[in-house]
Amino acid sequence: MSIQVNHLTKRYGDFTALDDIDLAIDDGELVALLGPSGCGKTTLLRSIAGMEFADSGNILLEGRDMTFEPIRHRHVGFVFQHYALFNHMSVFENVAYGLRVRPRAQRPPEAEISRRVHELLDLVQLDWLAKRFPPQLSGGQRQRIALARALAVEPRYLLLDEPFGALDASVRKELRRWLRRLHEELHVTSLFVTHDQEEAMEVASRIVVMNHGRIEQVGTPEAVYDSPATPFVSTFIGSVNVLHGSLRDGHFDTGGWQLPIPNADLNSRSQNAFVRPHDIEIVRDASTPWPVRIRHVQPMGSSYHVEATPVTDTVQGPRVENDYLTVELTRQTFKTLALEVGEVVGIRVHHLHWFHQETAPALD
Amino acid sequence: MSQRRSLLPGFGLSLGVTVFTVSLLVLIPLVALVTKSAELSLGELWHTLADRRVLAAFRVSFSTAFAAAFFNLFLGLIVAWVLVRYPLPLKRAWDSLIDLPFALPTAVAGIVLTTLYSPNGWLGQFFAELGIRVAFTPLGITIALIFIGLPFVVRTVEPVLQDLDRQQEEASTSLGASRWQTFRRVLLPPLVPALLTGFSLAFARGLGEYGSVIFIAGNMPMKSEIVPLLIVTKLEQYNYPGATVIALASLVVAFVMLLIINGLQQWTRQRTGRD
Repeated sequence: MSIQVNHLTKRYGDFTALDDIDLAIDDGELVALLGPSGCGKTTLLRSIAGMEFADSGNILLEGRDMTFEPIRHRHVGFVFQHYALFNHMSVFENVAYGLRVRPRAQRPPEAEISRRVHELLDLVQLDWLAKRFPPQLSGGQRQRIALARALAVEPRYLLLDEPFGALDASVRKELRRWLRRLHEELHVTSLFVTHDQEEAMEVASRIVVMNHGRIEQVGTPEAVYDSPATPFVSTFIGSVNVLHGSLRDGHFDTGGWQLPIPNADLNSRSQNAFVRPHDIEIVRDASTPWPVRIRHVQPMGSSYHVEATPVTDTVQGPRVENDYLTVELTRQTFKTLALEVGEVVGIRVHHLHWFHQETAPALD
Repeated sequence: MSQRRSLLPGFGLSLGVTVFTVSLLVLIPLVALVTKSAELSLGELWHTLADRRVLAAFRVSFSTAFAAAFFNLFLGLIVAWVLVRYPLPLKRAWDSLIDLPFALPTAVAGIVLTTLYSPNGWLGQFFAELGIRVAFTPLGITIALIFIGLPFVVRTVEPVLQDLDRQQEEASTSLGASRWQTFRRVLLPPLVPALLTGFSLAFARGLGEYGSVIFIAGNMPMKSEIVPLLIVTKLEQYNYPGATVIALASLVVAFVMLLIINGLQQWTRQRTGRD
């Protein structure tokens, strides 16, 4: 167990940033801490780095209790959202910094420093910028330099705080892939914070989903998407349609609509069911008991998002959040169906999930 | 000929106003100074400047102004640091207190300092016990100039300190640097240009300072007589050319020193890639 966090709690006045966090990360993993802003993910990362100190609980690094060790002794490389490069030093000096500040006895000779720095700059493919200063670089270049600087001290853990948060969408995409490749090459245990679920899904081998200072779920990208552990994870990861209703006799009942649920024989009080947009099928067959009216069609490139309002003759009707369902259709299906805004079609729900003893879903 | 367009209009006008006021307030008086001193022959000029009393006054003025500005370099940095970084009770009040030397009539400051530091004054008596005379010596002059010069350093360093990225310090420690290394290598370099500016402002002010100094200086020729006082003395003796020559010499020396400091500042900026 490379990083182990036990019962970590941190409060700022009345605000609980971390609420009894338990987390274990293996050697060589690339893990994402994912959650909305204010969920405590950055506080957790900074606590592991030694930039914040928790009120209770402890942090073990390679089995040693490091809860109160200062950052210098933790062998972490930290990458900041806004790079935090030393603007008055050249790129070369920025990367060399960690080697130059070592005690004299451990400091490598100048030739060795130079070799190492150029090696790292080659690794981030920016050796040609060695003599420039950070303000002369683009955001993506700066972040890669920041990463090279963090790697220069050969950290055992690489901690990245929203590393791509300040970059353009295209640069971001490129850097994500690049980070994953870099990790495959170096295999240093890495933990990165993000609020972007797409980023977490694309880069991480495991995702830690956080909300309100607690961990909601830890799992592979597939697991958190396909079998979310809590209503929060359902709504936060990917898009989802929320239906209000109750479970009754193997059906999910929402205002006149009876949606079949496999393996569900329990009756339950009012609660919510969650349906992914791609788990709904649109059929031109008026016989399905669930008619909807097409309200809006949004081409998304490879797919189409269709907004459809339930059509019903009962007074209340199906209770769908926002009063419409989002249906995701492939380009092919959409073309075949040739849907028109305003027409009434049928739907079929292929998969729907729900939670026992659910509290109000957190949709913030 | 194509006229260069700029986003903000009024370049010509603002340049005109600048040239006009600078001429009226700075250049013309300076020219008058030069013409007045030209009334003296080279021999007389030499005679005036090479006078031992004049040279001693120059020595006193420059050394005390330099010492005070140098001291303020450190004191100013610490004060600015405390004001920016620490949650201080009554921060606003402390903050305005810094500017007080700007507002206080300098003679008042001089009299207060003299009273405090004279051998039987509140503070002077302790120094007297240690055998140190403060009032009526160059040390006293330096203290008065520290008082006068402090706001210059604090006010130039403060905004730069405020803009510093705190995460750079965290980055530095995460890379294994000690506190001193972080201060020395990460914090200080961006502050150097501002510190130099504050230093040169405090130094320049110290050279010209009159009101607060003459009371505490004691004004003993050869020992604690400053250049501005010497100029006033010459004026009182109706020796106008003599006064202007000393003033001019003082200006030239000050100008050269400020030029050097500015050059130094330029150099540090270039070295760190900011220009």
